Amino acid sequence: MLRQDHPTNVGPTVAVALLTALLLTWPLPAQAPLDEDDWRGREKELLASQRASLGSQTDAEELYYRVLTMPLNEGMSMEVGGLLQLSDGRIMAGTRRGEIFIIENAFSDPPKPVFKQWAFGLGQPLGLLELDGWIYTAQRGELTRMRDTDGDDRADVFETVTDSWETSGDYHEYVFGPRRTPDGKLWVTLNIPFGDQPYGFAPWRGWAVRVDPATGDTEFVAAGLRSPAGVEVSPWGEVFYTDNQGEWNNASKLSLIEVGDFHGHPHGMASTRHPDSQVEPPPEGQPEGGTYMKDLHELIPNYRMPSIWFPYVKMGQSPSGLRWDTTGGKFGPFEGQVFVGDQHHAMVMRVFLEKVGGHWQGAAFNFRRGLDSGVIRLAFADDGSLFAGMSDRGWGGVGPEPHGLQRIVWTGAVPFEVHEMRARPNGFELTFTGTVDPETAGHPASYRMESYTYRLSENYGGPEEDKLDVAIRSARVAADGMSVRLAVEPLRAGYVHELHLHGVRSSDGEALLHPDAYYTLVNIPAR
Amino acid sequence: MQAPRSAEIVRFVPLICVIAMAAPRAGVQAQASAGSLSPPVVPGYEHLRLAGATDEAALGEILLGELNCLSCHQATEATARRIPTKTAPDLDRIGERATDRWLADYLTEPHEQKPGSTMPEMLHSLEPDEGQRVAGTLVGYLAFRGAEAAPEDQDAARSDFTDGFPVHRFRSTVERGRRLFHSVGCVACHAPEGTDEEPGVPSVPLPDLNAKISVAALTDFLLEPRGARPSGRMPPLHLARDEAEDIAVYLLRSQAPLVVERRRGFEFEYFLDPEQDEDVAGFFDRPAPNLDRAEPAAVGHIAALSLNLPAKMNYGNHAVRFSSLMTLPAAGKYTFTLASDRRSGLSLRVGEEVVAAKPQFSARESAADVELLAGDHPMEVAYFIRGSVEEPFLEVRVSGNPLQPETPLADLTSYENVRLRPTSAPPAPRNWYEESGSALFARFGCASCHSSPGVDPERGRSYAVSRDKAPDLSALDPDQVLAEPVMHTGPTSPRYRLADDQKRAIRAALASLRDLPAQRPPDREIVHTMASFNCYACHQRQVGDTVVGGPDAVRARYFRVVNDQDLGDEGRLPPPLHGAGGKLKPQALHSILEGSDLHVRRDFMEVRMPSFPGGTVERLAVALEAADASAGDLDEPPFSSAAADDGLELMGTNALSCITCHDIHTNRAPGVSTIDLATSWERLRPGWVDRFLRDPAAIRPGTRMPAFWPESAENFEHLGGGSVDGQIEALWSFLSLGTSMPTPEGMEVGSEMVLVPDDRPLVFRTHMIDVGPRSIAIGFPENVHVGFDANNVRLAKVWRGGFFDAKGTWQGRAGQFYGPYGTDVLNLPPGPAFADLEDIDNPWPTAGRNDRNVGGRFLGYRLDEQGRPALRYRLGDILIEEAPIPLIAGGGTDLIRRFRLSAGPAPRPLFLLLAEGEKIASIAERTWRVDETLDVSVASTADLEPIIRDSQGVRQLLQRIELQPDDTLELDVTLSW
Repeated sequence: MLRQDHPTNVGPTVAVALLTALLLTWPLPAQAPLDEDDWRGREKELLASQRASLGSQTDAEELYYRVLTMPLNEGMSMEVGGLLQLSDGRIMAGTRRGEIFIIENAFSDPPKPVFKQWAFGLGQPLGLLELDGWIYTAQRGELTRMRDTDGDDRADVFETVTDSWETSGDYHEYVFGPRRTPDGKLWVTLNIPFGDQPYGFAPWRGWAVRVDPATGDTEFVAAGLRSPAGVEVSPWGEVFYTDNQGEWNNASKLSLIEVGDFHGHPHGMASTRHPDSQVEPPPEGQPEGGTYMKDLHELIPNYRMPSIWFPYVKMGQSPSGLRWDTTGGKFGPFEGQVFVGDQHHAMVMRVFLEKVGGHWQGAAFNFRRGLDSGVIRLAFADDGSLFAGMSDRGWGGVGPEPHGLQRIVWTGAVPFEVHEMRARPNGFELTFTGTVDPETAGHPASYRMESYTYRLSENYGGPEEDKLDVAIRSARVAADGMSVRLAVEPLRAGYVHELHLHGVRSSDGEALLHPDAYYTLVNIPAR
Repeated sequence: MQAPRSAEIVRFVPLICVIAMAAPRAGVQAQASAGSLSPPVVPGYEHLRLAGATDEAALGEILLGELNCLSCHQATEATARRIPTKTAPDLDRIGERATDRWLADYLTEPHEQKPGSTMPEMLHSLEPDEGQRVAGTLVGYLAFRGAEAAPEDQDAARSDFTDGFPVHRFRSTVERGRRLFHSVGCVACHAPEGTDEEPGVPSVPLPDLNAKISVAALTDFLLEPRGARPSGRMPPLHLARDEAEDIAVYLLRSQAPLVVERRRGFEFEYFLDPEQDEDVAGFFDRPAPNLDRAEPAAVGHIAALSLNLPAKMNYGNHAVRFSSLMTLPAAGKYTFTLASDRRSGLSLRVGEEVVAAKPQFSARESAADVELLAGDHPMEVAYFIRGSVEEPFLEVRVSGNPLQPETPLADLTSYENVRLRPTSAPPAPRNWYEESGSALFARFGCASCHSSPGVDPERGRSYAVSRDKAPDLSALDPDQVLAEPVMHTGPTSPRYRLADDQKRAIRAALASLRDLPAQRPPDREIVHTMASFNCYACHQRQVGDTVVGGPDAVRARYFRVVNDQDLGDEGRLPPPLHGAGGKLKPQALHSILEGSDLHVRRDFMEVRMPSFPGGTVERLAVALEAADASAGDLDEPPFSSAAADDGLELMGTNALSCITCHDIHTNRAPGVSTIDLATSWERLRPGWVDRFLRDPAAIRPGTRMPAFWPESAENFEHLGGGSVDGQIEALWSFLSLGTSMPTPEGMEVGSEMVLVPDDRPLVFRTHMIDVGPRSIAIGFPENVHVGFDANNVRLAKVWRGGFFDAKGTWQGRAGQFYGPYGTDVLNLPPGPAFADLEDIDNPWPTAGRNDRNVGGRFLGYRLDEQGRPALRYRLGDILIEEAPIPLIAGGGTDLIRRFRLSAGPAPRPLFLLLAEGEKIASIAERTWRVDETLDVSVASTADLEPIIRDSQGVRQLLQRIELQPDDTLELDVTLSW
């Protein structure tokens, strides 16, 4: 509706150029494990080129999804680590500094928010949940619930729900959550420490824990997490989390967590032998560096393959908070899909998931770039807008601000996007948000695909390995013009299939707003 | 491909020129020259002479002590007590501190080697070659002494002499040393360098250090001079090791460098700006950081002037200083062009002067013309940036005859790496000297002055024959003494080269000594001690009608205010000591003299008050108090918290505005930054403060402290009863809160990340040193604060003053453990407050680093309407609430731990650990004193009877608490420390 008749077409061209630039500057794999700062040095070089081409891309995105910035009070730090809409409709944001704010008037346009300090001095709370009149948050050393008993908009009761995990004080021992599953249990994910070896000495690090909020009973349910900055319960009740790439998690990912899982990082492995562990110790001990992750289940039966790998730089660098779109269409055409923030790229990504061979897998797409700072938390409000809480402290990032709070509002205009990407026995089926031009969408030359996978190793991050061009054998447009079947060769299980749709046009001649898709093909469907 | 590659290789060949022996730098040349031998320099004596002192006998007594006369001439007991002997340097392990060559030369002709030395010539009667031989034997003997104790140390010292001490970034080290030498107080006694003007008071001489000592040994000496010189005449100046090393390198910069490498490029120092938080208003355009006072995060060298440093760099706000020697081809006018990114500031210093600067947010370039001579010029380029820019850069170009066109600065600069070693020859093997050496050491009287550890004391005494030879002091004929050639000309008599006025004074002293008691009157004792220790170098004090002491005009220039604040002479010159004994409390006087604490001017004065040995301090402090103190000055006026509240208001900007100029604890005054008021109560006598407040200029002439009640005008009627008396009492009541004083209105508090509980308590989860990774720091507006360990459930720390710096928790990736931001830190016993001991003989539980819930299960906390927290935990079937509550009190606010225990249906008896220490004594009803540092008192709704027990090597004050089911009990434990 809105300006849909004259869309800007520079986006895709720029994106392709940008991608090419990034591919050319991709750093070679290191011989020895890199420390985090070395790695950041390389990232810095990449940043300059990214920044240069951001402007025009975000201009195009702005036509469909506006970003409204909440002006902050003088001197206020809004390094958001927890974000939710309260049952009374107000927004609540917790910060890395340990403050919790209630934000009134957050929905005004232009925004004129009023901030009230609801709590102060918490230990790096990195999640917020409202439950039975309490606000739950994970602090470094405990899961805590808080409430305001006298109605002055200041919390006055702080109760420890559980402190069953330990903290050694290492800066990297972040704690994320909680999120609540339908059985009433709360899930919290625990970062591993990081620094000079041997680092950290607390058990249960790199674990997911499950807490009964009524009793505080705590179960240690999954191991091998690295930096699980986002944890979320899917609409159907399963728990998913995002993990940041680094050593022993060589590509950022979105993954299902189930009780008993091992996710690859050996740091907390010793705790698997603790009587409270619900994870079987890996039979061979620590995985040997260099194994392809796709083959790890042969060595470690409870190793959990990810649902999505986010290829480094192309799809952010630090995936964080995630939310399913359950707005019933108020946020546009992506109901049921997952939105994932990235702390480095100041962006929001979009993920489509499907269950193939019993495994959740799917495709990741760019969604909205150009936010003010690294996105740590996302939260949908009841009006269907998406709040983004941000901070890039300690790691730097693409955005111009050190922290902030923004609100992403759908303009009502539907962008021309790949809507879903499903695996098929001989290729993929793409659906679109609008009708495609049969000419371009039906031509294999409009597509390009390659596939690659990752090894698990002690190196910090990891290159795309065993890379192969994938041939597009055919592209068949459905009669209604809303989908395309691609037959491709070879189709390799355990590989990211990176697809570029640079030639595809809509029936109005429009290019895709984001012409790239990254499908993590763990299982190939039988039919 | 081939050609450019080889060209590149050529470019990378480092420009090194190795010079075997560098030409001597500008610096001290050995001052020895025959024929003009100075008399021994006793600087305190000189100060008195300069002030026109005429009491010859008193002056003579100073010389008798400082020249160690009584070491050979036996004195009566009374005289010996009246004139404490200075004592000579300890020669134990002298071989590690001095080269053989220098020692031999110094023994042969001390006054040539060190004009003004108080060491007498002892070998003057010998023929030159015999003197050489005796000196050589003595050197061998001395070097051997103490060597057995630590052969490895000796080897290390040897290698400093032979291989040299490596100094990287030689030039910047020398520059830092030069600045320190001329600012921390060295030149109060020693000669400043780089000036032709002669200081008014003779300087304490330095030997030819280049020949004598290594950098390592001089560094050790500067850190603790009293090891080698127990007399304390050379006092320690509270130097950090790297400061001492910088000064040592500076003083020894002309030593023979083993290798001088000159490399094209710069030394650099990389600094992290202490201000990292960009949210602070005005953050970006604050003045450049003072790099002289900052600790570099990285140092190294770099060939070009570039920000691409070969060092680990952070991404925060930072500064880089490049230093080098700039070699100019010809004399003339040079134009320096400074360029850097818009956001950064850049400055260029050549020699001592900043010759060009490019401020932040100015144009990209800025140029300046400077007249310079040909040759080497030390230079520094300082760059700093706040915030970040896409492409940070800096560039400095030089043009001028004959540099046409513009030349990058890097093409003209080089830095040096050197190894410094003494200019004397390396030592010879020596242990065969021992036997004859020890005999000579006795025969030539060395053993009379120099104590001889490492030598069998019995043998040492029997060798000390010269003592027997010297007549008793009382037997000396004042008219004949020192009248050469009659006296002090014998073959083994010491020759001092005394000046006539010195002889006159000594004779007068000898003439009067017989009738004088062991103790001087206090005013004379003060003069004697201040002269002996040269307190007069920095401090003035009235003697009769004349003012003695203080730095002379030349030296006074080197006394500076930190950061060039406008504080006048009051801010840069050490305070006069007129009436000092009536101003300072006795403990404060001791503390200041011994150097442990309360140096309140150190924050703004560059010069440092040194430390003095205990015995001297005792004598001086007692004499000062006896001479200056008024009766009743130590009486504390009545304290009330209402008066303290009035005092708080009077201090603020709505009333007397004391805090415009005075710091309060860690908070800086918004105007100039001067003496911290939080120390007032600990330092000052209340009576003196009363007089001072009424008329500051009468007590401290020329002070910038204004009089607040001119003509008894009464302002602020609602405060202190509206009277001067009441307001002074209110101010004192406030001052007596010490470091726990609340922050007055108008004070800028801390930096952005320092937490200040100004109107409500702050409960802050963090990680704290000695508390744990799961700490809860609680700050109160009363400025008493606590640290609670939520893991082991124990109150671990209590402190006063500043609360907590959140930087370790909030800045960057955080995760740093910090301690309290305040002072008066009280550490509570390592275990929890409560335990279910089961048996009174069981040890108190302790908690390891990974233990948790030792003192109960932590349940959280609740805030009352004022935001005051009650911590809650459960031990067994008892719920415990613990509320820390400040209790305003004169001398520093105390802390009440208010416990409320609520039993469930099946409580077990608990013990409460009230205190732990070496010594616990009951001092009043329900009050115990622990180790003389902490008073603990208990009040309860129940009738409690604490017990004292010894357990695990400590004494513990325990209270057994037995609750009936569903019973409650309230208990206040007050800590006063």
